[in-house]
Amino acid sequence: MELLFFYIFAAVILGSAVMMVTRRNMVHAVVWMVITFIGVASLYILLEAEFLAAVQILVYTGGIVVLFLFVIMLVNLGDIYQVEWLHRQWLPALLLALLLVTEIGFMVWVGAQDVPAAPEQSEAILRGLGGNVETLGMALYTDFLLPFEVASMLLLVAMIGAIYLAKKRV
Amino acid sequence: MGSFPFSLADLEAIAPEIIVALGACLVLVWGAIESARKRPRHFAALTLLTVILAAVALVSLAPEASEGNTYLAGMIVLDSFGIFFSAIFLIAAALAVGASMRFLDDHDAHHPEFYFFMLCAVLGMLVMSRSINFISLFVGLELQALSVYVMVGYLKADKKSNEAGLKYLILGGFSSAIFLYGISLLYAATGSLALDGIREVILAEGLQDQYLMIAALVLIAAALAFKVAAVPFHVWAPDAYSGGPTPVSLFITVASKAAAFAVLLRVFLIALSPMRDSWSLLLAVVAVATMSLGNIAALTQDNIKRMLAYSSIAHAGYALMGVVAASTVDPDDASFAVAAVLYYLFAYTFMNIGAWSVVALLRRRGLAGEKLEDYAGLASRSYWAFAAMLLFLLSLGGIPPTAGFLGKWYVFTATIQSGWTWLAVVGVVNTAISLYYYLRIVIVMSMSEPADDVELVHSTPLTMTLVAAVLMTLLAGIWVSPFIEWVRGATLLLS
Repeated sequence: MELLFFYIFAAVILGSAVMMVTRRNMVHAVVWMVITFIGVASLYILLEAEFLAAVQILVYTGGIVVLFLFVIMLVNLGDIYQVEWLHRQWLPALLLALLLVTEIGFMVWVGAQDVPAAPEQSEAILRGLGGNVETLGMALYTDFLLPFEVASMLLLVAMIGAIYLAKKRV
Repeated sequence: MGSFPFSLADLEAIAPEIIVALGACLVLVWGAIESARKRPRHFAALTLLTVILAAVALVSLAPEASEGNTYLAGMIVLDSFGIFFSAIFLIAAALAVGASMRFLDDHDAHHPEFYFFMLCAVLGMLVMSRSINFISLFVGLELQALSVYVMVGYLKADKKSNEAGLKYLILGGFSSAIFLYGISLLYAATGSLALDGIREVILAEGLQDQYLMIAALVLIAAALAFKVAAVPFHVWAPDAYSGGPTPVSLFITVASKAAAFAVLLRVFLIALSPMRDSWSLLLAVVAVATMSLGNIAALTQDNIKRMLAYSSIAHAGYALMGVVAASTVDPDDASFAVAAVLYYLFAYTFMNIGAWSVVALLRRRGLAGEKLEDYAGLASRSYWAFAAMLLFLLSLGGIPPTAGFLGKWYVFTATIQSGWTWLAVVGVVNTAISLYYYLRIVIVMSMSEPADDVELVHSTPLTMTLVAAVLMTLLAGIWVSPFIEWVRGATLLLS
């Protein structure tokens, strides 16, 4: 049953992602992106990470997509529609991509057969940690404290960098 | 759950990182004051001070490094390998600050943000080179990469700089995604993200020939080959290095490359060491392609920045040769080979920074002089600049008595000792090819008549960078024993 749902969600994610990158209308692309994000959130729910799913919906489908729409509305994107969206090298690119997908797909498919299944996280352990939010919080501020802090610097650089490059006069 | 699991020792262990992060934030906050922005040299001084303080913290950590303790829940290790690379990043940052000041003034782009990005890049490199867990390793790598993308596109008025920054960003983001994919497959197969944890699982479960592992290995190798600019993942490098501002190229051809090599060595020699039979030949082929293509492409360049960019690709190939040699099972030979790579990177730091700072010295009609013909008659114009450039080029070409010669000799010896004689032969042939284009610059500099609209701009900080690079290139080639001892010590805890 869980497997069935996984395949459904995976199909939704992949399908909408393909639709997203092939749309010529930016607003349509963003709407397809929303569906991708919702698919990812469903995967989180399947993994019983409800909090992460809620954050995914709130931040990505809520915040990020609205920002995207703002940018599309504010910036004049008229020229984009004139650009050839199919690259001149699309045929070799497609063939190479297919080759890569088959190769990696084969290796992952065969390889996954004899990988030991992940140990079942027992309900008791999760409950002992105090549920979803607490578990995530504990993990972030203990085991992953350093990457968490470095990630905050990463966001700072991204922000300052974007402002610096976008501003006309510094 | 228990109490907060960290102690003061954890903070002490990452003191250099904390100092650099604080310095970066201070630059940013101080740079928000309008009146302070008018004196950009103060920010350069603050950056230098930060780097020096971080270096002091690093030196004070050195005595404990031999124990190889891990900190912050096993994310960071304090070992002499990490300290060696941290020292390279700090040295490169200090020298790059010296080379940047006048250049940015002349291009009307001397803002505090430049130093903020540089310090953040250094922070990312420090975290990268000392991480022993894929999570912190990746976050550090991204911090470094993101800062460097902005630095490459830093000259907003310059179309070439914009283009270079954008290209680097897109391709870099792509390679990071490939790296993540590799890491996730590795996690799926082994259930661990710690480098030594992965090795133990591979050995315990006999996963060497497992398909998932091989897919992960190939993806990780591709991503790291991109980060060190190895063929066939090098196409971004000539554009990024020649399009970006010269002092930025000076910084990233050395520091970013060294950081990527630190990650490459740690990942392949610790986490993936049981799979050495799979990756040694792969990396050997990449090394041959990188050396040969880098050198042959450099032959035809008329732009000195592009030539040096291809030369830096070729040098990544020589260093990769040492990584291949380190795949040998004999621990002594392996440690010798790692020491060779470290020494090579150390020598490369100074000779490459030196060559790029001579490029930063030259102006044609007020802007950077990049064409080979701009260098015509440099010898008659400034004897010192000519002598310095000659030294750096000879060192890059591997002529004694320079650091570059010893680095090459060390790497070739290690390669032969580990039984990769054919690889060493390819390396020697490539060295001969590379001499052609290095000497071509020398000939242009000494033979031709000087052009009228080319000038040398003198500034004390740039001169100091040059003097430091000259001294170290000579010193590491002549008075070798302390440096050799240092790199030998830095390999202790790796294999």
